[in-house]
Amino acid sequence: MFGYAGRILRVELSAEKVRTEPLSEAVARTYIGGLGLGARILFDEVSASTDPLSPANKLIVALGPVNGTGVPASSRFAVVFKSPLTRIFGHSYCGGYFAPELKYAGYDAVVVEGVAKSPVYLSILDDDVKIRDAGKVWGRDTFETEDIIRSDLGEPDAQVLCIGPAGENLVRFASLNHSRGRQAGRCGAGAVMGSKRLKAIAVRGTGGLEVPDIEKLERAAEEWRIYMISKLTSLIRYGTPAMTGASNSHGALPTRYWETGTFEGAEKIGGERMRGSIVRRDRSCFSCPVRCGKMSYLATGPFAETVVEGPEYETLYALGSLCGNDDLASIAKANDLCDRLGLDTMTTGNVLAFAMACTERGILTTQDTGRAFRFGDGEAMVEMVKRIAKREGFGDVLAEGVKWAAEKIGHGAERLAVHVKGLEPAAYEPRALWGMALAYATSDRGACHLRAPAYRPAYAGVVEKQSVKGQPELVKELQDTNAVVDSMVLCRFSALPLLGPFSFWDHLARAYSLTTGVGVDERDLRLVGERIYSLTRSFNVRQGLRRRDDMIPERWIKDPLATGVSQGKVVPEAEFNQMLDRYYELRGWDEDGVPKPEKFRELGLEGAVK
Amino acid sequence: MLELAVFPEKCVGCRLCELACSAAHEGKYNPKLSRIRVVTVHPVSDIPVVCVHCKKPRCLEVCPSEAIRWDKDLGIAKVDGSICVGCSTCVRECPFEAMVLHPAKNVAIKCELCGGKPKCVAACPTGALVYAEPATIDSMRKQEYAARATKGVEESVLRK
Repeated sequence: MFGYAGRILRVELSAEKVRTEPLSEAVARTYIGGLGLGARILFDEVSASTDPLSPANKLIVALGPVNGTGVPASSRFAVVFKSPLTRIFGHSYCGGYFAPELKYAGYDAVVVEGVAKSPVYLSILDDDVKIRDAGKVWGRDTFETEDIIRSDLGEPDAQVLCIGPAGENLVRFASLNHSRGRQAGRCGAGAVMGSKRLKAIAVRGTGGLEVPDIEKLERAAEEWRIYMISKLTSLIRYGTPAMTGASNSHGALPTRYWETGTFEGAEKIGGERMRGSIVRRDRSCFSCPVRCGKMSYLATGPFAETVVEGPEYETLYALGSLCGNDDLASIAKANDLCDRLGLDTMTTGNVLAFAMACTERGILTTQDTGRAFRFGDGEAMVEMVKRIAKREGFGDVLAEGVKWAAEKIGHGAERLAVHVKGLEPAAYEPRALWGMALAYATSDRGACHLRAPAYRPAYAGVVEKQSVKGQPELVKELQDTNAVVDSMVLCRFSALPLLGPFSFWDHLARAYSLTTGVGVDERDLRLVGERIYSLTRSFNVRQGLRRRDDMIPERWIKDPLATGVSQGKVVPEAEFNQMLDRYYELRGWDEDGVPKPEKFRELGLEGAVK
Repeated sequence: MLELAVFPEKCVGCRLCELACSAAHEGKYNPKLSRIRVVTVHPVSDIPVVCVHCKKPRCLEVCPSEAIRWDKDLGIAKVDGSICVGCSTCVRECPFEAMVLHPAKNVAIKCELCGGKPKCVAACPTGALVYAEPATIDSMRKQEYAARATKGVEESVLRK
């Protein structure tokens, strides 16, 4: 089959061994690659009792058929693992230049298991794969690590994926980092890598990739690029920060730790302000014409000389509105620290805002946190980021994530804590957007916006914002679609639903067929999407998760939004349950959220899932 | 005669030029065999490096096999792969590191403007690569810097 390298690299750190195995064509056809491939391996090889930070957990970097081709925005790879933050199925994605390089080196996936005796890094120079001493880089930040490894290998073109001090210190939301500002941020893959004493994976590939008819693919790619450039003008100009104003105008920009959906300082941290003040240039991932990455520079102030790729929308929310912070400079500085130290900005912002909310309510005092820690205090925020990465003082408590930190803090902190299954939510307030309540509740990795970006149709007026009507159907459709997108592996921005004349499934089917040479249609791909979603669900069911775990935080049900256009809104419990019932029905899962045997048969999963 | 010009300040590092070049000349996607390559200089810029098509090309002067010939139609030096013995003298001598040795074919490769319709220029989404008359390029560069000086870096970068 075209589009694949045809090999999986297995790395056994305890035994200090590496080997390759062929990628089974049957598995590739059934799960595509990326998320699907990673989910299949993780389900088969990591058990319900495996501690995510133990040697038995696996870290799977997985590619799909489009990676390395000219299909626009095909730079992303999936990382699949059992999450130390949520203890359930974990996956995360990262753009940049790593995925194509790995494909050109001749691998569709790297599966790492075990634990090294002392810190190591993995070098992959085509067929030459070595586990190397990482003494020089252990303790270093992610920017230094990339540079040192390149020079250590004498390979200036090598692409590096690494962890920072946060991953080494097993911060539960540590990220994987690449190319100074690209992260697989969510769910704590960095802590898994840290627990294995694996500092980095460096890769250089010279082999290239063949497709069935390159001229045909090049013509299609040009058509897609022209289309993307014409449709994604706002992303091109402002990057994701363009969303700040949109979300705020819908009363859906989470503010002061889930108190309201309207932030009075939204304009100060919005896309236009950024573009007009700190953004210096645009940066793109491999193969993408959109250049949503915005390189920012702080010329003056306490954080002068900071250079950072971003902040992007989720970071502006997490370190901005959620912390009641309208100071772009401190957001940019904290963003830079997260990138260098290797932290997910989204969970980081949530734990910081959570601590601020606890302080405002008297649950935490200055004695606990080490210094005054009020909403809007950007400098305190920046200092605490460093302490989280080092697990120093109160940073050690916050390094556990909101759910566990709340348990440690006690005194009513648990009721304040906002998360689903232990993952802190993204920048879309579900009380203003009921579809997002269901999306967060049923995402296989916890409160995540990327499985079902149900906010987009709500902003566009395709579904009503506060209504159950059509939401379960929409959420399922988006989850299935994105399971395929994440298995291809494509960026969301190449494939935003509702883009217009391209039928979305047609686009995916065409990209798949042009890269693999295997003809598929919408029906085939829908089945794959549903199969993957039921497989990841089964992983979580095996962990003991049921309907009760699909519940949303009590505050979203009982505490009305305090101000703004969504003032007074909640997600009523009855309506939420109505959406969940309908969703399970659509999925062929029983009323407790467990996939039914007949559904397994239909999806071709019965042999795999007991 | 048209010339290939690079506006590095407009490059966003997407490597679409490398993909298009290798697709056209190698029949597969392989940026390592692209005749144009993008070098990242963090955090300031990404810089496309490609043959500047010297009027008195060093590569042509030094080639011991006389495999590099002057093409009158395009006004550039071209490598005749049937004569080149892969000695790499040109690769070492090129002042701009714009030539490489093809590892499989063992011949020197360089940008030869795709016979007058450069694929990289067509693929570039930001206008960082331009194929035009020298006078036009000169004028574009003046406009570019004037815009950066008066309207700010932002506006100038956004203009394609």
